[in-house]
Amino acid sequence: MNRLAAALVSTALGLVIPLAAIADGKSLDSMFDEANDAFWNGEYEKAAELYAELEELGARSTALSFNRGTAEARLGNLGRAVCHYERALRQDPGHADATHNLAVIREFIARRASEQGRDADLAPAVGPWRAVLDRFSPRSASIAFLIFDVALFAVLILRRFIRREIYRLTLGVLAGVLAALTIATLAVTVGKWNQISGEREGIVVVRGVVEVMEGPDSEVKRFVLDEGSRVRLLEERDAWVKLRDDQGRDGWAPGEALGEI
Amino acid sequence: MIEHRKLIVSALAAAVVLLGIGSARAQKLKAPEIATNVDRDPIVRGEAFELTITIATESEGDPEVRLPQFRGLRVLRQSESHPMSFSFSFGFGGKSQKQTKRQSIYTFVLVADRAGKHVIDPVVVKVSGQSYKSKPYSIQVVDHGGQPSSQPGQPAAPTQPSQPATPMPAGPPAQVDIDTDQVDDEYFVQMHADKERATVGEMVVLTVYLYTQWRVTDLEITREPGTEGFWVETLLAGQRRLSFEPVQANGKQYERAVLRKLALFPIEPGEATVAPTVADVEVKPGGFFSRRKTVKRSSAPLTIEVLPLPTEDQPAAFDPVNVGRFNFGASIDRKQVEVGEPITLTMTARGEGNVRNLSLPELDKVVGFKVYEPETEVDLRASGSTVTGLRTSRVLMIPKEPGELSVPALEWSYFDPSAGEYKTVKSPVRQVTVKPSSSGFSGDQAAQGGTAAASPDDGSQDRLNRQLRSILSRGDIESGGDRPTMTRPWFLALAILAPLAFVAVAVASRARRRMAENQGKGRSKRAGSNALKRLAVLGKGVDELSPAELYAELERVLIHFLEDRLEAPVAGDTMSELRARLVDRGFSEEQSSQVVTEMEACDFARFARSSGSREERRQGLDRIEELIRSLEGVTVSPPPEEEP
Repeated sequence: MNRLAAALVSTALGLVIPLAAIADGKSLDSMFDEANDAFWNGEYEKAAELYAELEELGARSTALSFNRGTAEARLGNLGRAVCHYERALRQDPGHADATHNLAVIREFIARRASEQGRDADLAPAVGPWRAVLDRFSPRSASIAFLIFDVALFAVLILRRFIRREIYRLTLGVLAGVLAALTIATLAVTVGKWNQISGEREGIVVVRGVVEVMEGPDSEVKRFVLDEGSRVRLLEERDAWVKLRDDQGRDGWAPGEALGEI
Repeated sequence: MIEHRKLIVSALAAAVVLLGIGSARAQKLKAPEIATNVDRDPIVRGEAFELTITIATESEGDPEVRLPQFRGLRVLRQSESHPMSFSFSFGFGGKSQKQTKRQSIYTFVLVADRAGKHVIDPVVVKVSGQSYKSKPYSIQVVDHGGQPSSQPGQPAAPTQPSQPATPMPAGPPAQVDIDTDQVDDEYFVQMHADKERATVGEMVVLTVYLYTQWRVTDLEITREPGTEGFWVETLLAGQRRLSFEPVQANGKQYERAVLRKLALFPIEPGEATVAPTVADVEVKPGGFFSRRKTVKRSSAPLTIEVLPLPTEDQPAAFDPVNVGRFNFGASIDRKQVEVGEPITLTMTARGEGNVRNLSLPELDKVVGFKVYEPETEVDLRASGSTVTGLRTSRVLMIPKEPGELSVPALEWSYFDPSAGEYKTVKSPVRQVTVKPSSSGFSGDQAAQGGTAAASPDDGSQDRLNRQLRSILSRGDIESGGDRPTMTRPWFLALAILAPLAFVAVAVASRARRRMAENQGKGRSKRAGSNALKRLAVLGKGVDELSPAELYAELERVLIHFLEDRLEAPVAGDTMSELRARLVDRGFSEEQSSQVVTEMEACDFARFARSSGSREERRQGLDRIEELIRSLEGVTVSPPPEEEP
């Protein structure tokens, strides 16, 4: 019941907030254009603020995340830029511009860390399953699953009405192929869902490095993470977040030092 | 026999002659064919389009044609052609009649000045004293969009065979006056500048027009306008399709298309001449069936008087390329930094004019900072009739010492030709608070070219910025959160619907089969009682039936009984097949043989001359009754499984 109430409230807010912005005389598109104009005028701070405002109003798009990342990058906020590029890639894994900029910034940060005597590998180790998942957006995986699912059962239904053996055999083979594809796309869809709902991921957004401590408000430092590092967010307590880096190390960092993808 | 053949041949000849006369009569009375067509859909307001009326007639004399008035449409040009006309005679002796078959094509070049539906009146054709009327013809006219534009700097695309296809301004044809030596009766190329006199650096828009009175089917510019002595920006390059508009030049009606549009910025004072444009124009003069021809047309050269920039009140730092109307601004990206952390000073000039070549202020030395070479960027929009854009210059500055440092005020001057005066814009002084470096970065390191945040070699923020791809100008901004597809109700419904449909089909077919089985079982169960009832009825009427009828009926009772028990037809089986089937389904060999024996006995008795006594018939009936009773108790095995 509580969930239902929360869903209703969030839906209402989702409708009301953008409407309020529109009632204020600005459509989301015009706000986006205004932010872009600010960027073109070299007012990156204003541009970043306007993009952020759009996101707070519930606007979502790959272009918005990408542009916000680029504005942050121009301001030198490379961790924030990485965070927004990662968001853009969550929405559209094949986004060439976001992929390019992310690679440029990671290389830049890694080189900078190397100059300062640290070894920063910001591109997290990616297993084969994760690599497969990263090739799909939640939408493309879901739609692919739906198509194969419907096609599979349509073929199975059709096969019940077919008498000729050769056709039945062909449909049987086709059903087998479709079943394999359905299962594969279902696995990817479930994987993407897990990514979205289960594994919260974050990016270190502070400039330079963040010190990861043993516990909230602890004085004992465990390790440091470079700006732009990707971590898994495990737990939140007050203003602290428990995280795990790609080497499996756990620790606590101030929440303000992290941005959730 | 020969006589008979002659008769047939004569009859056939007569039939052919009569058929010919009848056909000719039918042709004589044939109604004219009237077709109306326009050359495009939709028709755009203000755009010239071609309407063709084709009339095909067969008549004794010339048809009278009354063409529509085209209310609400302007007729720019009209022509008439008769591509087909021939005569033939039919009939006998002095009663032969002459028929003329004729096709007439009327072509109108029209312009609609009002959007909406236009109804063109029917065409009336009078042939052989009888009037025929076409249906009214409707056309839909839509409002036009903007003039097409092209990206500056793109190579000229080859021009496609030209039909007026893009919107043109509404209203009556524009009146233009052109030097008489440029005007050809039918087609010519003209260069036109929006001003005859301009100051150095002032934008002059040069337009190259093609004027034609005939349909242009192809066009190639063999020599572009010569623009020596100018900076050039392309406003409109080669187009895929030419866009025509009706104009009156020196009192004659033409259609005019823009071939090129350039923004010219004179470099030096004096007389600047634009060399002629030369084009090969393929035209199709005359009606539909005229031949195409290619003509070479050259425009006259164009001279522009270029005035020097005024020396009076000219600012000291003025650069002669800064001519136009501009806004200037300067900003820094951070006001608080540490020693060695770079800041970027961004200068922008935005406006109308020769944006590509604008010169922005230069920073040589700023106290407390190491200043790098500026990086410049131009965002140009050359379209329509002007060149606008933004020139950005970014200067990377690295503070070398802590304290309150200042980025000095920047002055930038330009000449505004529309106001005829110099204007100077000044940016305010910017204060930067520089703190000591927390990472121990020293001013000396900054002086040597390093930054606190970047690697000394090529890791500066500015260099990073250059590697980054810039923002996207368009994106589909969606509101309402980012709920993933797989959690949306329609996704879940569709995902479940497919297997549910399959299960429903499977359950339905299973239920249908079970129902059929149940029906069969009932029938099997009642087979014996039904047969015995029928035998009882036969027993009562055994004396009234003829032996043939009786045995036929007995055989039928036995067959129905077996079919009910077996739930399968047996009437078509041979005796050996029947025996095999009965054994297969669980009857004993003896019972099966007995069934066959009784069937054969019935068959024999039906066709035997002697049908036996009454007693024998009664015995036959009793034997069958006894057989049915014995078969009734047998458990019949199910029929072989059918394919699903």
